Amino acid sequence: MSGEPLLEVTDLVKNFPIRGDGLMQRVVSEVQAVSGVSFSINRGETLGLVGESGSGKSTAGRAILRLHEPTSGSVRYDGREVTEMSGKEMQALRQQVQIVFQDPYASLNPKLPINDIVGEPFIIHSSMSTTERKAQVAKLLANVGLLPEHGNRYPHEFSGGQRQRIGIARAIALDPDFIVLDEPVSALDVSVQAGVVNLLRSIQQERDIAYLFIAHDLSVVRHVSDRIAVMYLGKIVEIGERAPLYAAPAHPYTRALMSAVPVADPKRERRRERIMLEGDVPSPVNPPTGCRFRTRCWRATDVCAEQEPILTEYTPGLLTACHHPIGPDEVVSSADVRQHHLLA
Amino acid sequence: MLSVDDLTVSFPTEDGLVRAVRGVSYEVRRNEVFGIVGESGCGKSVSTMALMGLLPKTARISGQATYLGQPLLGRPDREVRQLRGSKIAMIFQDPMTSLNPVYTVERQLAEAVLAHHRIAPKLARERAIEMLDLVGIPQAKQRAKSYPHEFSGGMRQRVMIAMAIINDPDIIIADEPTTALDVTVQAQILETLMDVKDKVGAAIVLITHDLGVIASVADRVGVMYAGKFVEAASIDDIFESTRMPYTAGLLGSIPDLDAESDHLVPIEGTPPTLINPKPGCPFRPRCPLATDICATDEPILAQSDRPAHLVACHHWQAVADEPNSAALFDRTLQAGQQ
Repeated sequence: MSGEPLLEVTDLVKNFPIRGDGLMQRVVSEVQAVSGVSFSINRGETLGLVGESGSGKSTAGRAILRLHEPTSGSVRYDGREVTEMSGKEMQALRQQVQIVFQDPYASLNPKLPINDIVGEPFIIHSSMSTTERKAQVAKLLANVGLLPEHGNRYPHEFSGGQRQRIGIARAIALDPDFIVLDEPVSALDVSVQAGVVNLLRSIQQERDIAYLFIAHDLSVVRHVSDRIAVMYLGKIVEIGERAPLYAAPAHPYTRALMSAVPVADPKRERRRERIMLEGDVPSPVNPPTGCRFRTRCWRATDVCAEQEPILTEYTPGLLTACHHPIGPDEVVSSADVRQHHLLA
Repeated sequence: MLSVDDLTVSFPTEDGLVRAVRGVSYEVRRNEVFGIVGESGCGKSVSTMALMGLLPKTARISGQATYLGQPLLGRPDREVRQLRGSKIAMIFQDPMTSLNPVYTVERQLAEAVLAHHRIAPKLARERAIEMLDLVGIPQAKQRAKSYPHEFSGGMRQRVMIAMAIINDPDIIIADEPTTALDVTVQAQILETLMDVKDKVGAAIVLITHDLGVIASVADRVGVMYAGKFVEAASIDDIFESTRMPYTAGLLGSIPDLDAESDHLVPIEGTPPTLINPKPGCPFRPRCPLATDICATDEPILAQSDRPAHLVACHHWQAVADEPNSAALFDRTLQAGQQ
């Protein structure tokens, strides 16, 4: 792997203005969706980006592609600054960088046959002849496990899993180096999800594509990612290699998040220590001072309200933004957490 | 408490009769959590909506269902309404569409009491606040004056649970109650639901697509496929002594939070159409064990080698003999690639 990462995101910020009702529609406040996020992705690598609703994970993914114009920060792709690119440069970039959306029902034009949907990137970005394009589309459909005759059908004739395969065929049409996968399997049944996940992995291996895999399902993310970043209220609270992150996350939020996932095994379920977080995620319009997780954290002290914790390596291979990280061998008991909440 | 016998539901459409539920039978006992699990379109929601009289008039329903010996199906609306919301309560996936946006939460909860009891409105409001407190809404008295949109998704679902238990039901039907919620909130809501179940002494019918949720809260579970139960047993049996290939395939396709693996094992193909279903076993086209008999005779749900463990499969013995039943699907996959 070469020294320079394929994608380098530094201090990415995305605020959405909230406008008043008045005639001037003045900006009265801002939703701080992404608040200074930094990460990098190497060629052929998958970074999983996890978080709950409102964590800013999808906004971050879209801001990288400038589908939402970033408020500030830098996005370097292959050594070039994306945020400063002209329209023409962006169009060229969009050949190498693709996105697959969650909802395969909304992201395919219902009026176009599959041949046109998957062939559209060639019309926009190349001067390919019609026959050549048809041959390419047939090849792509075969790549994603569909038949050539599917090309003449329309999106409504396909199941959710097949539609997601069509979305993937369109994304890989121009042989990109990087794909943002925004909850690509969340809308699918598990038995179908497994096939789409396998497809994404085999495509990655064949074509050496880097993925930013955005999802809320920690089990799927573990399965597909080399490294994982955990977001909470617009910030990355923990980022690192898959093995240490899943074995013993140091951030209290990551611990709580993992303990909350129900596993399909009744015996393990009975043994699990489930950390119950109190309350809800605070509003991104007015996030807590210091550590944004402190209002729900059972380890929070005064320092957490005063100083924002920075990402620090407490456990090898893992960067954690916390004043009171959990040690790798430390067991958090649900009773202790409950006790804390009762006292608070 | 609740007994359902050979329930069928069909919907006439332009393309023909959609046989959404094709003969479902189960019993729910006092204080237990009975899970109904299945993928989209398997009929799990329709089967319980039919019991509650919540399906459109065009639905054709047959079979028997009784609550404490009283029939539920084919009764006049007025009588069903009396049971619905008092003795049998429901919780839906999306609390925003089940709550009225223009009334305060307190008013809606009090109305639920007044619909079934002749008591003073003041007492009904007190009961409302008591229930909100019970489901873990902080400062229940003040929050009761709020409107649904002023609550978060998790808090709204707590309000729905409060409404479900306000008339002291015997049965709570919870249809994907946590599907729209984040996992940390889901954990809170499931805990609350189990907590109130014990407090009011109700049984719960829990409908979900999430086998993790089933594993964490259910006592027994029925697995639905193409409008029928294909396997029903205690949760330990379903997860550890699986007898039906479909259940084995489902369990095998879930990525494990606690381990890494090279690849996942999907169930190839898609569920069959429920318009004029083909004869034989509905899972046959996707099943690695299918033989000729599966194409002609639909297996009936019957006792397996284990007590109180029902299975609808001609080849359940072969699943029982396979120590790692999910591997059945893996092998067909590898064979298919060669």
